[in-house]
Amino acid sequence: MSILKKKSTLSAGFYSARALLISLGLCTASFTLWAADQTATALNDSPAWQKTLASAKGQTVYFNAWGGSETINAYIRWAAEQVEDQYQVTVKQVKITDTGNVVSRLLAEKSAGRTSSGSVDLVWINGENFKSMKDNGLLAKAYTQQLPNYLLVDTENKPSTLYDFTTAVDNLEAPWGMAQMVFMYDTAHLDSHPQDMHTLLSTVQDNKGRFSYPAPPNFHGTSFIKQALIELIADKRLLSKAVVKEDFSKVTAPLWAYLDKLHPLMWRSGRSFPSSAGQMKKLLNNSEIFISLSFNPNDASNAIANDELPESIKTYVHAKGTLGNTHFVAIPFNAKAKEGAKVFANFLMSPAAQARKASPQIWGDPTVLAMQKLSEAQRQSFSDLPLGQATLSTEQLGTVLLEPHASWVAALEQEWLSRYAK
Amino acid sequence: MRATNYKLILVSLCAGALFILPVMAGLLGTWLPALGYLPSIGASQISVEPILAVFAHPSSYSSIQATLSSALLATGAAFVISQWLCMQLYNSNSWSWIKRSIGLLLAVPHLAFGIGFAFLISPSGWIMRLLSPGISGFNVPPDWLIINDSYALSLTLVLVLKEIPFFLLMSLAAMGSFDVAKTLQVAASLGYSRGEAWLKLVFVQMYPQLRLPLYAVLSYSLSVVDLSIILGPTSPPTFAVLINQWYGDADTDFRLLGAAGASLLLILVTVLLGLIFALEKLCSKIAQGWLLAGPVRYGVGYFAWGYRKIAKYTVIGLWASTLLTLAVLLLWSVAQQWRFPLALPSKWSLKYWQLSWQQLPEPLFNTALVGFCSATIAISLVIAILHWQSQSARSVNQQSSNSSQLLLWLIYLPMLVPQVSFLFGIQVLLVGLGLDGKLASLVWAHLIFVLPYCYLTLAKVFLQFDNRFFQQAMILSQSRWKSFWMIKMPMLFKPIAFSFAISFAVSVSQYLPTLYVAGGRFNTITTETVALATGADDRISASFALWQFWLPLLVFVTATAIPQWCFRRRKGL
Repeated sequence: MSILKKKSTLSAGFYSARALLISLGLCTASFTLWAADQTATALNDSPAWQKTLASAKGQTVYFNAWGGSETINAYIRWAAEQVEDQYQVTVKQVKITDTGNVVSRLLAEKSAGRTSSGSVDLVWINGENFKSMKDNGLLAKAYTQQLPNYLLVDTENKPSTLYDFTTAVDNLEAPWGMAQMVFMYDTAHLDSHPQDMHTLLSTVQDNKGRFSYPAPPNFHGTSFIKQALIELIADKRLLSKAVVKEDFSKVTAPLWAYLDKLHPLMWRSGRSFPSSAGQMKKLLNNSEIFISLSFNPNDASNAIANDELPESIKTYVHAKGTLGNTHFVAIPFNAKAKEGAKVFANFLMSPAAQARKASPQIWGDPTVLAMQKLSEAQRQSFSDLPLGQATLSTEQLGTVLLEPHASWVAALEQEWLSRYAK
Repeated sequence: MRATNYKLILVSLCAGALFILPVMAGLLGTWLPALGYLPSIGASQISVEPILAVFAHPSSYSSIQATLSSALLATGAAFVISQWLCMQLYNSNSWSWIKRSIGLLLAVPHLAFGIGFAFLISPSGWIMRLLSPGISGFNVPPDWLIINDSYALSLTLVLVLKEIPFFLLMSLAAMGSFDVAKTLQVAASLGYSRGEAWLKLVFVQMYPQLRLPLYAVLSYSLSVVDLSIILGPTSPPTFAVLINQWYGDADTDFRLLGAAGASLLLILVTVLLGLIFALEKLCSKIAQGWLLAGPVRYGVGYFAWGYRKIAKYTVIGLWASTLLTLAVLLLWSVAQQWRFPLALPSKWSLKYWQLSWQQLPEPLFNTALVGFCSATIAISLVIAILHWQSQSARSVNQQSSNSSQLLLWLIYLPMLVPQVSFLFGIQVLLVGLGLDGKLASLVWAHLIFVLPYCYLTLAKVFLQFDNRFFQQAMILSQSRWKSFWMIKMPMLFKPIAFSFAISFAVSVSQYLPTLYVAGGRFNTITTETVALATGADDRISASFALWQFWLPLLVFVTATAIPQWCFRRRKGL
């Protein structure tokens, strides 16, 4: 209601037809949003959700999530305390090194015929692992439509909340945060940053050994390869379709030619690669490399606040855009505490939890929520967030490129391994 | 007499049921998917395709190559160096000190040592920081391929540093079974040089007891995962890491590849051990003439002897690397900001100690609980087995030696079989029985790996126990239990405590078994350390590694101090 009122009074000051049109548009938009807000409240009060809350009480949710970042672990601990207080749901983070291991465990449980009381209640996931779980029937029934806060998610402007690396989400996983590939560079050593893959090459030529990327099949490494392919491939339309085996080597030739030139100039002459983006950050901190990459636009700011990186680190993106995607939480088919997992997933999408997560001092992970769908106060909590000292504004972040069709990953990784990890 | 023998067979059967059957089931559970059978992902056609796929995978060959070279080099170097150290330093003035302190080095887990060692020697590590920019002239770290090098040299180095203490300890135990000093004396009076006497008389007698540790180290080096992740090559990684990656790949078809790889690794280990055994036989054949030739004036032994100083420095180097590792972990854990080339952190903070302090209770408790349980059960089982063995050995020599030999191999088997080659199968088995994620299963899984080391560290001393004390006690007390508890146990308390501490350390260092069996229900200090080591924050991973570093040390120091305190008035013990 409040949204509607404010927007109408605002528009009252304008008399031109255009303004009237805009205000009309706004009114309709805010009406639908008001409707969304109403539905959210309705869902909140609905007997079904109340029943979920009731059965969730006292449950213990084993949340399997990558545990390599203390920042993120601390945030998860905070969220766990909140749901403990508010809903009497206990959440325990199982710190994993690789989501694939969770898929393995679920597979083992499935082969053993354990269709209930599995060991995983909620898993932090996206991309290939999600596809794999979906294809192998390792996910619980669609659930996000039951979550009141799901209605606040910006599914309209953030297509990756509906298509996870081109795989249809189908309400099987709840969006948790947005990611966009950004590069970090050290202004203490570099005067300017590259604009694209070609200028990256010339920068590395002038600073031999001061750039690297994690070795695929590491997520960040494969993403870098995909980014390079998007920039270098002659016909970008091919990427939205499945890989055609016969044409693969021809269409990817520019990528390999580029990497052949880049690798000898890289850190350790391309004979060794960092194992993860985490290790890259350490290398950047120690000036072993001058350029690193991340999927969190606030990563640099957060790390500077944390003394993990020096203040000379700044963020940049390539001029024609960088890859973007969403990360999610999913409930496995045999989860023991399904209700508890739903309550926690719903909490993770709540405006309060999302605003805290977006703060560069806490984690700096961009929100999945639509600002227009929030109340004034909720929106305020997001706009009040300080822009980290090394963070780009939304405009500066530029175009978000969509992930190539899922089949490209395996083909690219295979080819990369046979060329550079023999 | 018969009864004792029967008991021994019964114990063997129980051990078999408890440890060998599950290992076998685990192997089977890995071999089936290796042959293309894993119904949960829709693979039900038996074929050799997964095996062929391993060979077709671009990374396999160089990965296996790096694994082979690092494992063989590490095992060989550690073995030779440890024997050389024994030869040079035996009965030197530092010998008793080495004997007393070797356990401390052994108790430090590979993982914590590896993490700390990387902090030390990487191009932006502490050593380079101390040298920069003053001596080295580097303002930014040099682009040198030291850690994660494609030849796995840094991994090899750490393995060598960590396995030397193990071989030393095993050699010490082996030396206990005959009088080395007298042997050397007699040899000297017959005109043998010290080096030659050592090689021909001492080493040859020690070797049969070092065979198993040698095999165990080789198998371990071929299949170690956690250490390789941190120090090993990355593109491609070592074979065990590659297998683990396949198991963890998003594409479920890779599970078949992982299982096939794990089975191939087992074959590789078996073939290598077989080759070494054959080599051993060949050497002993060839060397027979040399061994029986009597003293040779300028032989190999003559030149091998006389490097006491260098040997001493080697031991000091071993200690220095451990202490420096500890120091650098300590520094990182209290650093807030520490950039290259500063020799010390520029900002200090106790935040990470507080952080780890808040998070530690649970993993620390789990680690200690599982460690204590598995070590206690292991030590009890081993004492029971050894006591029976010592009793039956006195009564029926021939018959029992066969069954105890069998028992030995049963106990040692898990030490020789690479963990990755059966843990996947064990996971499926436990899940099938609904036993995964239970404390008991975790303790049991640790026990499989703790028991052999427990036996290995205790058997020699225990079996050498002069049984006449026991017989005397029997005559005086008329009670088996009294004699056992009041005479034998106190007399053996020291080695038992020592063995307990080593068992505890082995349990603490278990990564893969915890990962596969605990089902995420039990975080240990080791799983947390590995998880954090993959991240970006050196400070928190240092403070966790530190805990992994000194928890076993703490238990070790306590375990060795307790007997001393208990028997402070009974010097004779």
